Amino acid sequence: MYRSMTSRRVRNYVMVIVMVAVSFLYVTPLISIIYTAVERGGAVLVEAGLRFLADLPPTPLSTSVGGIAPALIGSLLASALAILITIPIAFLMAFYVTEFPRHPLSRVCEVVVRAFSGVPSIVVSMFIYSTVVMSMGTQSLLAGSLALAIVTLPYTYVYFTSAFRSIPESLREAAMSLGMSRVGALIHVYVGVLRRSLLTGLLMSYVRAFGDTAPLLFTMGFLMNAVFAGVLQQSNAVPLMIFVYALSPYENFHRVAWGATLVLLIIYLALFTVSRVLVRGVKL
Amino acid sequence: MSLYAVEVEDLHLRIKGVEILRGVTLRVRRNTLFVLMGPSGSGKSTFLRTLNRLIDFVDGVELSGLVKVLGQDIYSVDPYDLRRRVVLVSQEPNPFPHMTIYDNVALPARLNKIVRTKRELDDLVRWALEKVMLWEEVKDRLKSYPHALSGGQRQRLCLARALAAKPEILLLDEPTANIDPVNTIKIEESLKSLRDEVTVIMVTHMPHQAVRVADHVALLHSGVIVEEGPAMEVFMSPKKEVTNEFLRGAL
Amino acid sequence: MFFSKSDKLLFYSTLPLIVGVLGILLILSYMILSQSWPSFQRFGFAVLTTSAWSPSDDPQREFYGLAAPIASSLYVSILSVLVSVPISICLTLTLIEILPKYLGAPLRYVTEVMGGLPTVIYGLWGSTTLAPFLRDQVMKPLHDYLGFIPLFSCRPLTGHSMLAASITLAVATTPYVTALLIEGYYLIPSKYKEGAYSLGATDYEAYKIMMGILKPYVIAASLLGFSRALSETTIVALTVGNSMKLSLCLFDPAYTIPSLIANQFESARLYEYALPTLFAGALILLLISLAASYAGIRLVYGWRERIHV
Repeated sequence: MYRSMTSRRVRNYVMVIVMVAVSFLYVTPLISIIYTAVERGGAVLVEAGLRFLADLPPTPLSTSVGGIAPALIGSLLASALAILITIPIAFLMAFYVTEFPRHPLSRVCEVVVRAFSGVPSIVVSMFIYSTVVMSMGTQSLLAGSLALAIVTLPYTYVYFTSAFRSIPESLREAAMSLGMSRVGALIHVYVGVLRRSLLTGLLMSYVRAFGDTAPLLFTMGFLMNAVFAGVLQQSNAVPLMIFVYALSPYENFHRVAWGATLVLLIIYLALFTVSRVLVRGVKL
Repeated sequence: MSLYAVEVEDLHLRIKGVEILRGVTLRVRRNTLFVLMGPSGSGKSTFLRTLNRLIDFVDGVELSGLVKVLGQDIYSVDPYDLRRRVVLVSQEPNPFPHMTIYDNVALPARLNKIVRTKRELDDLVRWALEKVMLWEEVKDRLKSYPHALSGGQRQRLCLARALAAKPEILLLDEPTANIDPVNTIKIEESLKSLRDEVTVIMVTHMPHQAVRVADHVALLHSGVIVEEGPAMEVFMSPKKEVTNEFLRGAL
Repeated sequence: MFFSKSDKLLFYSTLPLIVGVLGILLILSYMILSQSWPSFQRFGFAVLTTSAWSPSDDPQREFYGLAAPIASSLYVSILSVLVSVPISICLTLTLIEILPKYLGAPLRYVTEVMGGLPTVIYGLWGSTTLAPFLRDQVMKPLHDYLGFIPLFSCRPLTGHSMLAASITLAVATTPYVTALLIEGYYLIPSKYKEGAYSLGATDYEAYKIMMGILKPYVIAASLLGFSRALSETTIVALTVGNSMKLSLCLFDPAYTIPSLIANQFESARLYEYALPTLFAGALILLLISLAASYAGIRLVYGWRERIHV
């Protein structure tokens, strides 16, 4: 009368094994990426040593790999500048929306930020090009930072809203019943309670900005003959350099790209791990 | 075949170190309507979920003692097979929101291939819905989704879905806790009409519900069975002071 | 709701921010539209229905059509969603239901690492490792044995192709789709899981029921993943082969709109209608991407409200 339990169980085991296998198979690209980056980039780093971080990029046909100093400096500064713009905006908007979720302005805010996350980053790059770059007459670190800021904003916002939403209702009530205003509660209670997750949000936004390429394509410029030329002048970025060099036909540039990839990978993994350790400390 | 649907001996159960059941011993005869009463937090739901091993999904469970269901130790049989024969209806109505009313009731028959033809399936669905007195209310909208039903109707739908699995034992976890009186009466009527076909074990914290439906009752208090026996005996002349207090609503 | 004095301050300091951010969005849309206008004026709808990229110093002889990049963009993105969504479903169930914590936690960590990995690293890896691997292990055998199917009919050359781009994109977007699905899965009330198991369902049957409940969310996650794949520039530009070609064959190189823009932007500045045409492409990209994200987000919100009844 009943379908045999055996056939159902066999099917169950097969499917469960398939799902687990697919899941583990999925992470093999990361292993391959790390392996390739260490193999190819490692050779470059060993050859160039620490000078790789401090030297100027090579000419296409030179035999030495030179270094990625302009890109490294550009990335560090532009990402910092970008989150300096994004963090306060995202922080205030996130706080506002979680405190007054039913206010019409909050709805507008939600919709606008969501819409931002749907804007392709290359479109942002074109937008900054046709406004900032055109009016300044040159690509610049500032223009690159602005593009990064726009792209990072929805990401930072989502991070902060989920941090604010994680405040237990009891804590909110306690703050309110002590007669605090919302801003008072924010300053005296929430920031203290959420300091780790806010710091993580900050760090993750920085990592995000540091690794992004497309927003910088038409905005940042491609500085090669100096380490740093000023905020209003052309600069460079590590991901941008990897992208441009990978598309170039020169073998020497490919080597630089791999060296830069290994550097980027190490920076990324380090910052990511730090932010995860911070999150783990959060207990509410 | 064993005379008893359920035989439990000295069942101890801890969840994450907290003792929920402290030596439960209980027998339930086949084809009776057995009501397990007890105040909230007495361990009734946990006990019910042990019988068909839904407890397996809870983290940190330690269990000792003997639990035999339908004559076999529950840890010697396949849990999925066990749950097919010992079906539980939860306190919260949980008809699957993505399936139509018809598909909800038909699901267990489809999983278990209980029926061979579409015709038989239609008959089974109709039989189950009639058993819970829902057929007249939904026969014209079998293809609509359960969110169109009221809470009480949804709970009866879940009961119909459970019946369509053709269980040997039906476990009910406070099925009328969140439901209006009219639907409660209908569910109780359906249960009474089932007595000869299936063993029903119902958990409730409301003594008057036990009075209305039970053949046999037991009182679980602080993880042990305080008193059990034929419903009439227990209600008319409880032997323990605790039982008296519970029936008066003082617990 | 009550407003104290300092709350008013909060309100008045947030107001210009929100207006400002909204303003940027409006200016952005306006800029893209106005910059692309000359192209629409000159070519009309032909810019969307023909395929050509012939710049010329004489503006009268310039001719551009974006049909091929638009079609390839959709093709590559849909393909990547078809790969990433099933993987994400497996990952979701594996991480939440199947694996014990001590195995699930590290796997989860690894997928999160992959979710934030800079896209240029995926691009470089896809271009130098995955594409040659796919060419030798997948494309050539498929072409040799199943070449009569249009999808496999062209001879793979460098490996840089729509297939390589889709798979690299799928690898890069899977963590995002998975994160969405995990978020949705946790929102399903536990009573449904109990319901499935208490009818005697096996694990796999219970997972199927849970995924059925989650279906609107899965569609939403697919739309959001699609939007992400569609907008992705770096990965595609490095793996898709960059060629102005309209083809069904998976092994052919192509341009997507973002990769066309990335490749042609510098030189397009030299011609009168090339840059406006790229902006026209950006406009189309923006519209499709916004529409897909909007639909996805609507579905997510609708489902969240319905599931808690």
